[in-house]
Amino acid sequence: MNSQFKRGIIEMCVLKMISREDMYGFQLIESISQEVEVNENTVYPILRRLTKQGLFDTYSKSMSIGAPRKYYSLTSEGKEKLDEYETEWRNFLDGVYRILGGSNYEE
Amino acid sequence: MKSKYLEDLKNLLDDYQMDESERLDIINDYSEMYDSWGDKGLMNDEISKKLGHPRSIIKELTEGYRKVERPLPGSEKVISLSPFVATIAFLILGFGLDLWHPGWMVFLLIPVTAIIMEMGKTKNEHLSTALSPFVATTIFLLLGFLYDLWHPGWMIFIIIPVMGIWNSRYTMKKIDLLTALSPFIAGTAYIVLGMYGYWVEGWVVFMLIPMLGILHHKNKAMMLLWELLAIAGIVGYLYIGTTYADSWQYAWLTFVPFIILSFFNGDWEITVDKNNDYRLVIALSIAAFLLTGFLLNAWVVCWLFFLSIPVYSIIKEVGPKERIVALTPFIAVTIFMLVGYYAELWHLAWIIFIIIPMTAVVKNT
Repeated sequence: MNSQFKRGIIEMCVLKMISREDMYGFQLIESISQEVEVNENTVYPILRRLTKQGLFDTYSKSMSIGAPRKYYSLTSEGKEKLDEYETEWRNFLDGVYRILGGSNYEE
Repeated sequence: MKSKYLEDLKNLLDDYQMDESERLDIINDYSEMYDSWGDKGLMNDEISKKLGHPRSIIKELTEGYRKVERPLPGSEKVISLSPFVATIAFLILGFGLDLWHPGWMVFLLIPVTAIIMEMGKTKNEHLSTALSPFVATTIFLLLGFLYDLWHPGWMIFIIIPVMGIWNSRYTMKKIDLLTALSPFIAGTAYIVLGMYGYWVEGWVVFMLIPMLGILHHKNKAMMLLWELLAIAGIVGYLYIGTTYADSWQYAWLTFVPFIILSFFNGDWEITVDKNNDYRLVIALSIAAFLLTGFLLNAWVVCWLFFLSIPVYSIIKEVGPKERIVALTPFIAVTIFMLVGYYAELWHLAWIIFIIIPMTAVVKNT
């Protein structure tokens, strides 16, 4: 899969996962990688970029052992962006399915 | 180990124009990741491998950021003065020692100086790739003019594609790096063996290329069988050829099992899509090299096809701003070799190298 395309999809997944609950980076990677193949070097730059764009807020949480962890939470702007992405994505998939011949399309 | 990893990462990040807070964010993220993997029970080496060497991930982390330019002290002056220094050196060699030829080669210092100063600004990892044509050309011409060793002196040009591949090593897996280098290792070994009279038996060194390629096969049992058949083919070929008189012409039949397995085992699941384009460029340049070499007997210049490998690597990996400076040495060497060899104008052809400092100056204005 084209890496740019994959990155766009991962970005949407990152927004979606954090909309469900606040997460720290490693936890997010573990959750996403249960479904899609991702690595740290893809996810962390996305987290940094989206935080810079104001889609995430960050806060630190102390741990009983080890250094405090940086948690990410979705901002209202992030929520809007996610809704926008989801609508675009569904429209895109509908179009693709129509071309391929239905959601149960198999070659 | 963790501090070393983070320090290496920080040193690399320092070469890019980004806010201190962004840089710190990245370091902190990697520190957190390192700890998280440590909590999972991974050892330092395993964590470093999991996260990737800082050099191999830096490109991904700094996408969209520009490199910091740190001009070497007095670099502009040095570039401007280099033609005069070269001219003075040329005149001293000529009038003083009657070394007009090959004294003219001091003019190669002009482009070399420009490349070092220009690419050194951003600690460009392709600096040695860009310099390799000059090092190779100087050695080639000295071997040729002084010792009449045009052949096998031309083999020195192999360092150019090898440097191009070597400088891309951080973006490749080790096995891909070896596979990419294998044609040059095998080719050099074959020519050296040939010079000692082992042309017939020596070609088996080229088996190194498929044998490394086979290591990409996902099915380990099949890979092992394939490798064993290759080894059996080599051993059998050499044994039959050296044991029985006039047997070389049919000794190659020992490779038949290997060839049959290769023929029926076409469902390769190669996992290195990223580097398939490099393989194609390497394969095409070797094919062009052999075709022009054998058909036109142009061995002295046909190695120029290998320049396509570093050129491709530069086009792909060097930013547009530095690309033209990095590419001009290859353009210049190609023109220099063609004009020098076919028109026998070595003493004039070097002038083409002036395009390198000219490019650097034009780029900076």
